Amino acid sequence: MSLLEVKDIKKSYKDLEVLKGVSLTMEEGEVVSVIGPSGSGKSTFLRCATMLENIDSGSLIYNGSTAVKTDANGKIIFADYNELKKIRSYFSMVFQNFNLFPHYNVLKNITDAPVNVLKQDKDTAIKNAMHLLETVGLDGKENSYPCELSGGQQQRVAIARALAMNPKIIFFDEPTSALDPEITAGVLKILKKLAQEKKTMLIVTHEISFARNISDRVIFMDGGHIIEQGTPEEVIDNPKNERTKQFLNTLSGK
Amino acid sequence: MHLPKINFKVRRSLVLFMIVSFIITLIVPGFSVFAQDDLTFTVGFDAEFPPYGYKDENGEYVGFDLELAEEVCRRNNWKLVKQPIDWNSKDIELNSGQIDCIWNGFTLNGRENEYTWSYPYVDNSQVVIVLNDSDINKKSDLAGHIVAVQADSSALAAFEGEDASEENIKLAQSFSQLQQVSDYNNAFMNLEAGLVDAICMDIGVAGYQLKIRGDVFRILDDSISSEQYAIGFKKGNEELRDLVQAALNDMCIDGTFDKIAGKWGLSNAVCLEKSMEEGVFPGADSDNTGSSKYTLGFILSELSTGLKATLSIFFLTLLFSMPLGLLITFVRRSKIWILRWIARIYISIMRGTPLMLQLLVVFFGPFYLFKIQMPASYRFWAVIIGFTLNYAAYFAEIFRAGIDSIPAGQYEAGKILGYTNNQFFRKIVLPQMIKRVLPPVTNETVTLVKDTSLAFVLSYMEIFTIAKQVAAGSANIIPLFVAGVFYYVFNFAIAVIMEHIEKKLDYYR
Repeated sequence: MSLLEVKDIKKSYKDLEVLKGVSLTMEEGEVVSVIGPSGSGKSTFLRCATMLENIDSGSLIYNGSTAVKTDANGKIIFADYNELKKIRSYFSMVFQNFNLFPHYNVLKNITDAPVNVLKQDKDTAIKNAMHLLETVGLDGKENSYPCELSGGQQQRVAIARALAMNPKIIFFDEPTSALDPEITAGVLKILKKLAQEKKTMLIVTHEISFARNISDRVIFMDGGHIIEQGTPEEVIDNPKNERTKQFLNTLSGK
Repeated sequence: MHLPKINFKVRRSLVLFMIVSFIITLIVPGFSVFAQDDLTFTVGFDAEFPPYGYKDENGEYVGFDLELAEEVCRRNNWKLVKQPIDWNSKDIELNSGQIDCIWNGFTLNGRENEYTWSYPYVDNSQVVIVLNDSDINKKSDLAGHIVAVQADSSALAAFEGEDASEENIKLAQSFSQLQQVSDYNNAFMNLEAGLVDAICMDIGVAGYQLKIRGDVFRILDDSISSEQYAIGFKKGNEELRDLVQAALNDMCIDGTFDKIAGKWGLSNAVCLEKSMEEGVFPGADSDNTGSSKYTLGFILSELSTGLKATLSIFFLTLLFSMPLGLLITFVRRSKIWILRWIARIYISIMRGTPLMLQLLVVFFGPFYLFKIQMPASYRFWAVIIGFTLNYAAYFAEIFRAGIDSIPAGQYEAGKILGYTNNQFFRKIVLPQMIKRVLPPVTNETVTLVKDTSLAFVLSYMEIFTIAKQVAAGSANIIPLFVAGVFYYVFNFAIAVIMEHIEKKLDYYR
């Protein structure tokens, strides 16, 4: 059983079709990077997979449980409330703009959802959070407020917050796009560490060399389709599709 | 013709000068050469006191007194200015020279030494008006009932004034309440709605009111007191008084006065001829100012009763309007369009109409719309309900702006983390919203402190209404000033407290 099965999802905004039938399967422990030009639909794909956006058609199956499917009449059917709640607990997400809660300090940002959503014991949540802060290199910052942290530090808190929910899979939506280049490295290092720990991750990114470095599989998207996918060597080093080549050439300045 | 440049400049400044002069002529009274021989005579009157002075169906200020004044002005070659005044402010208007006299069914009894008076020209009695089907038939039946009088009127003076008779004071004490109202229209609405049981007023006014309002009401045979009307001038202004009196005397002799009195149905009430025979101006034998009881201590103790009323309006309004405002915000943000529209229309009406009008609707609405008789305590609750409904609309919009200012990304993070809507609102949205709405909420709160004075339209005795009454009684502005100090100090305290809370919430951005 695959951890995530996305089948032929389509999504339009008014007349503009952004996803024209995208399918993807992810296995446990797999690290997948999605690359592609702006407007290719990769962020929309992520938002549909996490149900931040409702899909127009297709289906979404997490760990064997169907979250959304399309019936014979083309109508979208969601799982019931409790099933969706369970499915949502399978995944977490790290945003481009961190989206920390500014009125909570670092510790509370990390522990609030485990305590109130997962009903974890408060002491356990705090112990766990302190451990995670160590993992992301922010030990000693637990009492700071987001506004007192740099962008890179905030993103590391956001990663710790996602990890604290103990998800089966974490989605990253361009996690370093809002950061200065010199700060980016620190965040990528943490992602690499997570990859080595065999966390299942789907990362939308512009960092091609990083994608090559940590991914088991790279997906190139353009125009609402998956154009090409395979190992980093296949897609990044030896792309077969003309559009993939063109995109990679533009990035490397050739 | 081609003009040299220099000439053109001169011409231009000449034109400019002419335009400026023209504008000044327009806006500065008395500057105009056309107005130089026009002496004005400004009569202060309560525009809601027919038949002596009121606004008729054509929107003109008319009445017995105003017609007399017109004739006096014609005979003296003056220009009459009819100045409607707030009855509570009549002394301030007179003493500051804004008006030349009070000429408006003005009772001199009890006020003999506060003004320079003309001869009394109308003899009047204070009578009691009840609903036709009332079981009140004589003065003593009034015991245990609510009796309305106009604020600072001679009816009130008859019950509570310095010269009130023992009998009347006792009678007033037997009432369940002596309710002051701001005008007679208000009094009749109160009576018709069953919010008061009787009104006490001048017989001339009573006769007129009953004529125009039909036979729903009747006048008791017992009268409360007998009184006289005269024209009140600023104390010491005998010169003007004599000019006016001379014209009136002429009018009395040549029959004009009686003709006018007949026209307004007051032939039985006028007494100018008798006064002329007696030839004594009221209060002329004494120079006692009559305001001795108005010490600062007295003023403060009077105002302190109003202070309690003001504070209860303020705190109860805040207590009720904030949660109601939040509820309206939810409705306004509802997914159901019809609910959203109901909230929008509600907010639009509450913000788009005067609070004063809303208060009147809340108070009189139950009777005039649904024929429901409300208890006397409803006066206070109508004030609270009116203020709450109004302020909730403003708070709703402030809260909505506060909620909308929270970035969409936080909602997405909340959704991913699995918060329920309820949890997310309570733990994430509400605390941030409170911080964001503090400055506008402070604004509204400060405005509310000042708006409490609008409760006067429902004759609810808050501090400003009382200040106006005490100011009228003592003929000085100290009570108003004291009330002003109270508003300022109260608002200053609010500003300090809110600033303190803002600082406390400043630990994050």
